[in-house]
Amino acid sequence: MKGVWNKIARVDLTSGNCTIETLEEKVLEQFIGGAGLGAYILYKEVPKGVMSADPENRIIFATGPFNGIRQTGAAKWSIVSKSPSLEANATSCITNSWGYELKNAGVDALVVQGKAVQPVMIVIDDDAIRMEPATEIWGKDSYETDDLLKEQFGKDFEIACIGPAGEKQLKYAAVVTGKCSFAGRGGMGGVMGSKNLKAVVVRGSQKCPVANPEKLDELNKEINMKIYNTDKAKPANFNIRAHGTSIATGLFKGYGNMPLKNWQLGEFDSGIENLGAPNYGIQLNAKPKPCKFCTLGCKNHAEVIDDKYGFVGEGPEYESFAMMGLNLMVDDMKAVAYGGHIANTYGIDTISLGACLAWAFESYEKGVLTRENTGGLVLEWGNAEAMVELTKKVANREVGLGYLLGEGVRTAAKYYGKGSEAWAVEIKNMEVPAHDPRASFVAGLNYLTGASCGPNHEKGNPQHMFVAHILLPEFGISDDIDFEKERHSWEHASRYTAAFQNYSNLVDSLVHCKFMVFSGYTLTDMLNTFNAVTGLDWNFETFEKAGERIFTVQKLLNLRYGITVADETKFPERLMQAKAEGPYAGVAPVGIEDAVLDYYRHRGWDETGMPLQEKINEMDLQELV
Amino acid sequence: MKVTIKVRGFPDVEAALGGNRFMLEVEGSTFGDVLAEMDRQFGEDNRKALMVQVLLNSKYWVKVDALSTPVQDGNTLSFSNMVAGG
Ligand code: SF4
Repeated sequence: MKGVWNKIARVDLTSGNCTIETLEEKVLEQFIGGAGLGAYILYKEVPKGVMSADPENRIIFATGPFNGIRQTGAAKWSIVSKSPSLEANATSCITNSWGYELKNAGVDALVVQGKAVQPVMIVIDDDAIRMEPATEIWGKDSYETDDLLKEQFGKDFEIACIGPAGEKQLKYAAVVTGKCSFAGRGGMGGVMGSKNLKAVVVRGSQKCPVANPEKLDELNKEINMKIYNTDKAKPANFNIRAHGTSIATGLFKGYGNMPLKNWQLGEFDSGIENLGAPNYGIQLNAKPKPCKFCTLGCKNHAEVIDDKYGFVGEGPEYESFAMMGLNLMVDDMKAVAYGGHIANTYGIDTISLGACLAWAFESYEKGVLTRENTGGLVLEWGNAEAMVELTKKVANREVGLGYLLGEGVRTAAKYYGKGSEAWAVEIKNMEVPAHDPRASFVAGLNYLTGASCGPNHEKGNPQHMFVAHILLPEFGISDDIDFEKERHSWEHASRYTAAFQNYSNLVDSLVHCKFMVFSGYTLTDMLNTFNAVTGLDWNFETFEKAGERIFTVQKLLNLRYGITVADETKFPERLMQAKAEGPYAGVAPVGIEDAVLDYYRHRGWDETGMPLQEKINEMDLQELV
Repeated sequence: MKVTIKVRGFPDVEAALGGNRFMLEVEGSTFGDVLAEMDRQFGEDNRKALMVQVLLNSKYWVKVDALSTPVQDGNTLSFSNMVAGG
């Protein structure tokens, strides 16, 4: 298979050994790269009983066959590890240019194991890999770290690092790269922190040969132009390059898809207007800042001039402003962006953070928390200043509420009790992202059954059929579906959910950006590119099967690490309550537990969620399993 | 020929078109002919706003500039606006 090196770099932080290993060719022919390669390595190397913070845990920084090609969306890469929030396997994707450099350094992935005695960083400069002390930058935030290391090594090096949150092993700490991209979900930053690994610095100059360069050039040109033109042709306020993912609010509003007041409300006009397009860009003075080779450009650079909330840095994505703004009834765009900026510099997942803050606000309203607990903060809905200040307490791991919220909403609710578990919106100890299962039942089914990274809107994103109009006709999800009927039906939910989970795994293994689909990137484009890069002659069946194979291994890992059917049928109480107003008021995902069992059957698993032997054989996993 | 037009994700355009699913009587046999008829009936601006993602018969993606793509009587053309979701 071309387009990959069949090589991994391995650094043992305990012994200081840095080596390059050759992978058998069949590994990537089965697992592609990225999420798939990470799952394979975890399966082989991290047995039951190893905890996320143990030196025996691995953190795998993995590229795929698409990294290194000049195609829009090909800047993404994946991080796989045993996650501190789930205490099970997780994949978190991240972007910018780091993955491109790693691939050009002549390896497909970096596997890190062990634990350094003192803070260190790993430096990869093409074939030369070494460890260096990082004591001087320990304690620096992620933006400062990036600046300092670029100054030390040169601007042609890319940095993946953690901020203070990762160092202090906050449960949902992020890995940060380029001061603009964040692998937040699952708490990968805490795994780096547990290993005393502050940063990985990388530069590469080698080009990985592809099978059919002429064909690939042709495809790249056509696809890059298509994505650019499609976005440009969209109606005003739906243009991603102009408004980032704030465009989502315009549609999600009509579908009741957003978290409002800790998932209690169906309407919040001022918030949706102030945080959505076009106000987002105007308030934040946001300019597109696309990842390498991207012709879409959802990411943007904000320059906010404001006495209280001024900052320069990455503007918040939909998930961030929905969870830290709408979910707290905060409608001040600058304050929400500033709260997100603090989270970014400390290296914190804004989804989990927003969920924890919303729980605290509601707990304050209901008397579970008092000013004594909050250090004097008045956690009233809509209080922007309280949101910012509480964010700082969490980021600094301040003793008391700040620390506990950093342990995750389940832990905080358990500690403060008084029935507050009822509004702690999490599954498997991971906070739920900003897509409402009452707007499309499949979102809930995916949250419960997601084996790649707990409840994750991007690791299986079937809600996008209903709230973002995504079709995957090549995988049988097309426009002949009665979307309004199916939106709140379990009849075909298993099929839709599984197809999108398989699809997501493919994208995370190649590795590619899922946002390309929003501007017309099709599975046909993806398969044609894959065949041109690798020289394999796959079709949609083999393509989907690869996604399913990776999902199967992720599921086996879930089971190994103790995730049970009880975990997968425990749906947050709050999301079982219908909303009183707004779109789809009165609807709740009743029957979701049975839907999980139906999903298991659809997947070819038994009633405990264990893949049956026939499924293992069908997935060609006999040798591994 | 008669083709079915489906529209998803364009609330304003849907309103202008009078619905999200309707039949269109077209002179001709290509995607370009369908678009020309839509221009005539609904106005070029409304039609152009739909040119984000086009699917033929629930199965084949149509490149929006591939005007000579054959379309037959009874075919369905689906226009959707896919939107980012964080
Ligand atoms: S769409 Fe956004 S995240 Fe994806 S590659 Fe482009 S700028 Fe990066």
